[in-house]
Amino acid sequence: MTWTGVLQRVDVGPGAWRLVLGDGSTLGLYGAVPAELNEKRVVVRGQVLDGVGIGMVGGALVQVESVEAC
Amino acid sequence: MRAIKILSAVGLTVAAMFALGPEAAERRLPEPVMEPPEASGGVLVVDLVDGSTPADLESIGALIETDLEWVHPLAEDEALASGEVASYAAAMAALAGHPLVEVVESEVMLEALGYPNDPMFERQWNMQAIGAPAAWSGSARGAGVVVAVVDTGVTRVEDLEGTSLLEGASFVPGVTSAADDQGHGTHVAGTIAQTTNNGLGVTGVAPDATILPVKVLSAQGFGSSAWIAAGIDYAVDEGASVINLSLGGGYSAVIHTAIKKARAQGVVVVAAAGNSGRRGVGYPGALEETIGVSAIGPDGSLAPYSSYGKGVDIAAPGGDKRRPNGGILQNTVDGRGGHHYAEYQGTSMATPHVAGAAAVLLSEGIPSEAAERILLRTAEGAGWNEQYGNGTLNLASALGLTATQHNLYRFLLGGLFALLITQLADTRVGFRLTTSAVASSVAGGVFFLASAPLPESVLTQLLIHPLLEWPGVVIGPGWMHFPLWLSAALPVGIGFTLGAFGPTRALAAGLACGVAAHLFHGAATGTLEPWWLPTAMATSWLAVNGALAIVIGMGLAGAQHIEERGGE
Repeated sequence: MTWTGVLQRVDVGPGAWRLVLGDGSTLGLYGAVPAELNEKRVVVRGQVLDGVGIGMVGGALVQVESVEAC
Repeated sequence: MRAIKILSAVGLTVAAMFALGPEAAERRLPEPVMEPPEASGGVLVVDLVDGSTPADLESIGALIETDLEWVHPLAEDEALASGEVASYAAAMAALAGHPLVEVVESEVMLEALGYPNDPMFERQWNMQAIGAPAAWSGSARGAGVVVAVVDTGVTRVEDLEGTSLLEGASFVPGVTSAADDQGHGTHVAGTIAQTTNNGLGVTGVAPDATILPVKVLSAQGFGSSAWIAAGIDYAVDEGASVINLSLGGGYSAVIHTAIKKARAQGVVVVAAAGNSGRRGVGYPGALEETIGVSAIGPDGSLAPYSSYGKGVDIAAPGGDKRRPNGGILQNTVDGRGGHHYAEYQGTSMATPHVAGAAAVLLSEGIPSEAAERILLRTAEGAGWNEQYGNGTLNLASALGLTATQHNLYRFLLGGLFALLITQLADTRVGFRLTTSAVASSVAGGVFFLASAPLPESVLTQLLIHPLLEWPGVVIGPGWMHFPLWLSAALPVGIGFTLGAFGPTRALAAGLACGVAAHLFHGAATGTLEPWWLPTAMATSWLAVNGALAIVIGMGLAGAQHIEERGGE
């Protein structure tokens, strides 16, 4: 699946990634995320995870396969 | 027949008493007062202004005629130093008002107040905020309680060297060790049980608790519902009394089922509210079966990242890094094969404060459901709201209520023992009432006067404390655990002296019953820990001596019966 939104680094625990979608809802991202894309509009490709994580930044959890600026 | 009826009545009453919820009033705790200690000299701790140089250290040391040294290499940034001085009073006077000196305290004084010698403790505003030193100053440090850290694993970093840490297990596929490959789990474990008062690093809420590492989250910080559920089941099977879940996401039926099973086993399950900064608590924190924890910053207000809403049961320090030293500082792995002292923030950090506090209460012999009630009831706040739940965690108040509850039980038990034996001996009413009053006061202290406006003095402390706690008041913390004191020795001695005379026999009989009640209560709850004796032997020691004290009481009541009948 793909999602488009603004990437945000959230300073909780050792740090977490969040994608803020156009409607204001959020996704918690797990996996490799390029730090230089922080606060940029990006397209995230990945899979929705069944589980929990340490970020807890809100919304569904997504295992990131790729992140690209758009 | 009459004896059977009396025993039945006493049994029912005691059972009802132990089923009571904690309704008693909060006990006052002494306010820390910074005055020179009575000891003339010793180790002085000097906190210089941050950025002070070795030359500054030397000049300050010269003023008080000692070689000051940084408490620990890692504490140099905090400019915390210590040195031996001949006179506390003279040294404090010499440094008073010095522009480079922020705080001067004696190590002895700090230890007496429960303050540890961990050099970075001063940066742990969170421990002060929840009143953790009140726990450290006594015996309530989580001993014997297993806390499962269901997380990214736990690694024995330098400031966990003295912590009881089990081997644990990993439920992450392909990972065989429960060591931490992320940093989150070790940080959480540190908040619960960092080695404390070891002259190194930082402190933990329940430093004598045992940590069970359960790795259910990958190095990325994610875990599937199946891994989490398996980890919770494992923690219960391994004897965990508290489970810390600094994790969250959407609802999962398998996790919910595992938590229900844990609760059915009497395990306290504490979970994070989430870090969305919005209304809506994540799972499993939102479950009825978990204590959901929101996060506050150093100013006591809700941290901006904390989730809130239905499901928040209590708030605890989670940090606010917008403020200097506003995060939660613990020792954890650094991801490069080493370790560091790192400030994190999050409801993940708030949760282990509550788990540690639960461990402290459980180690005081409080059943799990009562411990949960006490934590929520003593939380600071004005009724439930969606930001703070029942209020902000206050371990000092929780321990105060715990102590009050124990004293209430002992007070009633002592009186019941006295009523029973004087009834069996068929003594006169006056003897029964006097014996019972003495027994209650000996067993529980006149605890309900703790909140009365009495002068702060040793006599007041003796009045409100049970007799067996008097050495702790008069000599110092810990001294009440001298085995001969926690025995029937005193009832025997008093029984053969004061008990020999009619006018003082009720006093001796009451003392015997009161001591018996305290010893039996201690054996049942684990709140009395006689020195040198392992747990099983300690329980037997207390029970046997309790029985002996009761026999002394019965003998005295019998003697009173004979004297009363002889006089007719």
